[in-house]
Amino acid sequence: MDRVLNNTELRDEEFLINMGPQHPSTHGVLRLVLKMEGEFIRDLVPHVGYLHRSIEKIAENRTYNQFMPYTDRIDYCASMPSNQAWAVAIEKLAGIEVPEKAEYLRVIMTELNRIASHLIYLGVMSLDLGAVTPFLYTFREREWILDLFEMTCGQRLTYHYIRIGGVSRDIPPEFGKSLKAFVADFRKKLDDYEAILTENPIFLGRTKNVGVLPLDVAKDCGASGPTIRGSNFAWDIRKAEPYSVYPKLNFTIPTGKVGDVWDRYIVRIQEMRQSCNLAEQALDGLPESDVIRAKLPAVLKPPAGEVFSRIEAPRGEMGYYVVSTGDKKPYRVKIRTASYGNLQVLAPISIGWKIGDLVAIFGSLDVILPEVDR
Amino acid sequence: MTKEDIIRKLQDKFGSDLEVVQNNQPEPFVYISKDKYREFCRHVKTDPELDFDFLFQLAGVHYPMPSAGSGSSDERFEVVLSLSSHAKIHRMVAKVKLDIIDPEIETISDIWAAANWYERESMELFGIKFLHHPDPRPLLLVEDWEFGYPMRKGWTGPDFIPMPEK
Amino acid sequence: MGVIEKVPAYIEKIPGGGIVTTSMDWVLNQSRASSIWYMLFGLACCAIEMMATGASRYDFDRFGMIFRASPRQADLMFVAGTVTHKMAKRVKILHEQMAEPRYVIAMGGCACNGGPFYYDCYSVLKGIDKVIPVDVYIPGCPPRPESLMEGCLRLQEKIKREKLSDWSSDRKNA
Repeated sequence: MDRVLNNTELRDEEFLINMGPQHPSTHGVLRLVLKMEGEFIRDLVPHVGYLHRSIEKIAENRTYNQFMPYTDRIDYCASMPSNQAWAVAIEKLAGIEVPEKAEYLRVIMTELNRIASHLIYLGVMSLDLGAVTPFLYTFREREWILDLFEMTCGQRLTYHYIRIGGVSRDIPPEFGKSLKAFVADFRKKLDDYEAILTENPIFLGRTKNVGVLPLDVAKDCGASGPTIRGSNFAWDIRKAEPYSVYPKLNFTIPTGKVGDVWDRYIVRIQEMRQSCNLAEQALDGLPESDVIRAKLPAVLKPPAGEVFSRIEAPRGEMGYYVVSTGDKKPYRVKIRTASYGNLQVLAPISIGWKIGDLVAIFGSLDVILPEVDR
Repeated sequence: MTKEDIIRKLQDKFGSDLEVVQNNQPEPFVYISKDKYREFCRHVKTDPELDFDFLFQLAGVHYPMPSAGSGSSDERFEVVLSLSSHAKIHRMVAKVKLDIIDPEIETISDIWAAANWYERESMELFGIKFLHHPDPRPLLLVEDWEFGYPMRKGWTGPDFIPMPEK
Repeated sequence: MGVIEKVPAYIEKIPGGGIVTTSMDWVLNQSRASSIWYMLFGLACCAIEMMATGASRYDFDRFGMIFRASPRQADLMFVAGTVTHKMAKRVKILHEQMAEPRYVIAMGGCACNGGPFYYDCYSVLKGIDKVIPVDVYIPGCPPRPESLMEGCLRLQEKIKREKLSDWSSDRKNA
């Protein structure tokens, strides 16, 4: 008792806390070891590998078409762009020309999937910060998008719709009407979500100026997508290295100002609006044709060589490096996903914040663990 | 800069240490020799005309037998870098050949911080040693993994069931 | 009052209130089956379908099932997604942290026996029943929310068939 009363110098001790693989806010199986001093984080080490499914080894034993369903499972929240990344890489390697109607269908599907992926982000991040209502709202909108996908290809989560050379089937007649109704309704719902969150003092207090990401740190660590766009840098593969029919479509790239959690949230909300416009434009510009897939042999054998290609997935840049020896199976496939770079940014920007802020920062990076572990 | 401009600029600087792979891809694919590897990486990052500030990915590849279509026919390991530039919007693929028995190379994680995790992954899956790496712990496999390097060609181990041929 | 008609019981009326006589098994099983709290343990793709089943359109709350984050407060563990060797040790620890009576549902092809990652895969555990005992298997990749709810209803039927003596300390396979 005397020691406490007379000793005016209180020392903090540093201790280690484990945010283990099972945690409601880690969005999958990620383990963070935090070195804490009192309430503040002094160092952070992520441990990954809890979902390493050796997809690259599997790729060496499957044909090019047989590998396509595995690409769904790499990023299951945005399965259409993941399919498209593999299709674009093999089409670049083998010089396959995709019919125009298939390109427009691909754009419609990937933009709808971008909206669905950002809705998952919005729902889960609000749930982490304590707001349960946006979670239920966003999953309700997402069910409409999943109805559209189920109408087309029969699956709700892992579609395997985009194939090498085109798409697998045409859209049914009622798709267009439903899509237009969805887009008109969704714009109003987005205003609802913004009314709950954007100007909310609690949300602002938890996200404004929290976890600021400087642009040079982002570029050096390999961040891409909305993570780097929040730091006032308009970089989007759809505009910089255009693929598919994006040069013919009209859209802007939203950016943030400071690079904090709030900016990354606003960037994703505005990207959802841009995706609505893109899906509508693609539907209006859909050519009248019956050809939805290029004529390819049953077992595809691309010429020997290497290819490096990338597309803009909802989380960032996703790309492939494929080595082919002219055989029906690839020799080496290296999958580069967006979350691999985005997760490396977490350690530099969360030093000095508290655990509650860490939850907000990690939610704003929108990391999906199977992308990191493959 | 176009593909030919990049190749010409690199050949002016590195001369015989650089070897260009002939293919019909829009990006330049080059081989750089092992001793000039770090100098090459620093040069392409800091040169104001090349300005490759983004390391997209770093992959290891195992070529145990001569295989056609990859620019060379020795048995070797390779480390493949995919680089891109935000300001100039051009891309490049740089490769370096390593010894088949004991592959080792310098780290570049001080040039691009993104290389840190890619090199850790290649270290544990292929067995390529990256010298002076700041954090050479395994990244993806189980902590007590002792069954070799899984991504090498011809590897087998426990609980590995190859797909039966039809 | 349809419940009263279906109850295998004998109702007596005593002034001051009704008394229902039934078996202890029935009461305990009915209360356990109607309020299963599940642990959030989504590993991979099936986790999104599990979240969608708990969300607005297919509501889990109407079955009395709410998600809890901690294993100490949960009765049921949905193993939703692929289990790797690195994660399998942690799954076992989490299963042992749950208090009895506890149940496990293996959701999706990967948790049942490895799924699409059965061949050519060095790091995936081929089925979660190699480390923990499983009560219901739900196939699919990913299973639809309707399949998931059917699996939960089968689990409820399984619970209703239990006897008190199953959970005594002599039970060997808990």
